[in-house]
Amino acid sequence: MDQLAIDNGKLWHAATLKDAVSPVADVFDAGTLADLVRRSAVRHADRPAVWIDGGTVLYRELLDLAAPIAHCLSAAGLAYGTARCAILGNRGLTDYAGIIGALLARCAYVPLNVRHPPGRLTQVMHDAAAAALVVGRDCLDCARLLLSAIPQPVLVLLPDSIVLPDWAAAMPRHRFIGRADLPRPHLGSLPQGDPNDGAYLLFTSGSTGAPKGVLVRNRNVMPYLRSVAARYALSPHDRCTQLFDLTFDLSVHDMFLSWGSGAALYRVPDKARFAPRHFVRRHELSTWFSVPSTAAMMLGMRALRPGDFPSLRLGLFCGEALPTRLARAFAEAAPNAVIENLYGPTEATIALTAFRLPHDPASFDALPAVVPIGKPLPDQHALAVNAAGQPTGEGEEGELCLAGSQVTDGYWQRPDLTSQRFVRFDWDAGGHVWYRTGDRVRSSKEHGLTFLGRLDRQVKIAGHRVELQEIEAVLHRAADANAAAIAWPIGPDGLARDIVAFIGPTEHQIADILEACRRALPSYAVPSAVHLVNDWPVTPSGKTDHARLRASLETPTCSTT
Amino acid sequence: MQHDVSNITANNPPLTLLTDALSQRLRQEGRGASGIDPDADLIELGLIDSQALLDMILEVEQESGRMFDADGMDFEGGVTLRRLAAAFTVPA
Repeated sequence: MDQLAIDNGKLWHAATLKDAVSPVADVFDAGTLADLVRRSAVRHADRPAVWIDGGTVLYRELLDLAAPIAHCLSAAGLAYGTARCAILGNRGLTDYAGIIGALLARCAYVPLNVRHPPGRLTQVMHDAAAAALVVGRDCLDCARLLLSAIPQPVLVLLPDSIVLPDWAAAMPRHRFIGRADLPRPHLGSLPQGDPNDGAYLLFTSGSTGAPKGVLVRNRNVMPYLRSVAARYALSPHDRCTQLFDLTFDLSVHDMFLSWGSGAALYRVPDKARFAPRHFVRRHELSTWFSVPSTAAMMLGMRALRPGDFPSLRLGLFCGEALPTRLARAFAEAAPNAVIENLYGPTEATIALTAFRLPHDPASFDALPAVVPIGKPLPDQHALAVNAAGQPTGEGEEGELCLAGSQVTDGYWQRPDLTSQRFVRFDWDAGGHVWYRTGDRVRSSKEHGLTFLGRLDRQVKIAGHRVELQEIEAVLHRAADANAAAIAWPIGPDGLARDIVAFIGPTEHQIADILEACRRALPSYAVPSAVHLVNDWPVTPSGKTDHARLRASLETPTCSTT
Repeated sequence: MQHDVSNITANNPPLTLLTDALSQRLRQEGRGASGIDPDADLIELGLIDSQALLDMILEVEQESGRMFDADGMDFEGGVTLRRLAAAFTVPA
């Protein structure tokens, strides 16, 4: 049947896919992301799955791109549930196909952003011990740099390359497969996945100066998708934004909520990404999901005006604090939309709490200045504990702790970090493992939880987690200075704008120090300026006086280069 | 409706102000700032991020007395100094 089906896409889907899964099974009851996509493709084979670069890709076409990748991984002996497959790209069609292909082969995918510094990509590839790499369109130069620094053999899939690049021959330890050598699409012999299989491995900023990984398993991510599928009830008629980098776990929501619902995922072009007003209007998108910074950018440019987005029926925000003033402006721009603020760290899978804003934007005035993060999703747990590890009462501040099926097993190959953050409490008769978020919150009956700030030195820049120690480590190395510190000016919208660095006396040029930062850090973590401080301010106890450094930004007392 | 960029010449005030603001920013970041092509895509080249772009727009608004018209700037077409300059309009 497979051989016959290969020659006719429709027949192939009518036969092989139908054989693989029951068409009547509910898509979100799937145990794995791969199963979810397969089930949805049965129902929606001829509907658009992705809009990208001016064209539409149907569900069956997306599976046709993914299945050969899955077969290559399977044939290489990687389909056993714990292997990792890296995806190098920038939200390209091959990236989406690579993600699905990896999942169909029971591999956890490891997204690599082609725009991140090569050194960082190499470190992630190394730490993930990825056995395979799918290279997206226009990423060959980056792939060459990356692969030349990886000593272990890697299966390299180049679905967009008709001819293998010349440099591939110089890396005999790696095995390269171009488009011509990919098998024809069929799903028949692919293995069934397991909820315990890794789904994706993401790396976030680490306080020790190196990124730290979190492996999210299918059994973590599927409960989230079931919750939001029930909560938002997307349909095949929905058109969803895809703004998030694939290295950001909110992109998992974008892709799999949309694909599980038979909806179309609209990949917002890079150029329109920070102010996608025209894009949303032109394509009459129905669901929006972004960090608040994107809306703040549009508001600042007067590109978020009342009635701008009548087609939106859902507006979701996550990744950083959502100022109420901004939420109101968005609600007025999208008068037909339900607006929600989601909260959750990667360690607890995408988002674990949600707060729905009132329908009438005028009533937002009764909310705190920052929109609450609300209450946990079904079957998840969130509460605040005090310094003694005891649950706080209503109105008291505490550290937010999360538990439930969405909470992951811990940090990738870092039992030391895991034991610090993933803990059990004596008072919890249920014996849950709780993830200590480091976020300060207060709870109230009316609004659930409200985010108050961090207990540590992590900041969010446009939704990206940045551990300040990571930047300081780079600065120390680059400047060879005894003192380095970071500030993060807050803009009028209440969000952190960017990173500003201070360094003590150094013989190095500021331009060289900034270049070293650009080589080591993703763009959002690179300081916008470095201030040289000859007279380093200290508190009476001898610690860096951060308040005086911050104040110097408003009243310059230090030299800036 | 998109603004016409054909009449944005080298002495166009917003273009001059935008070029100066970008040069200053690049210098502050320790990067070369000479000879910025007014038709180069600033985002594609990694010369500017969204926050810096907003800062630059607000700065030029303040200095030129003109308003940035987001309606007339579809960012999907590329963010160049000339296209940005064309989107600054004189208030009626």
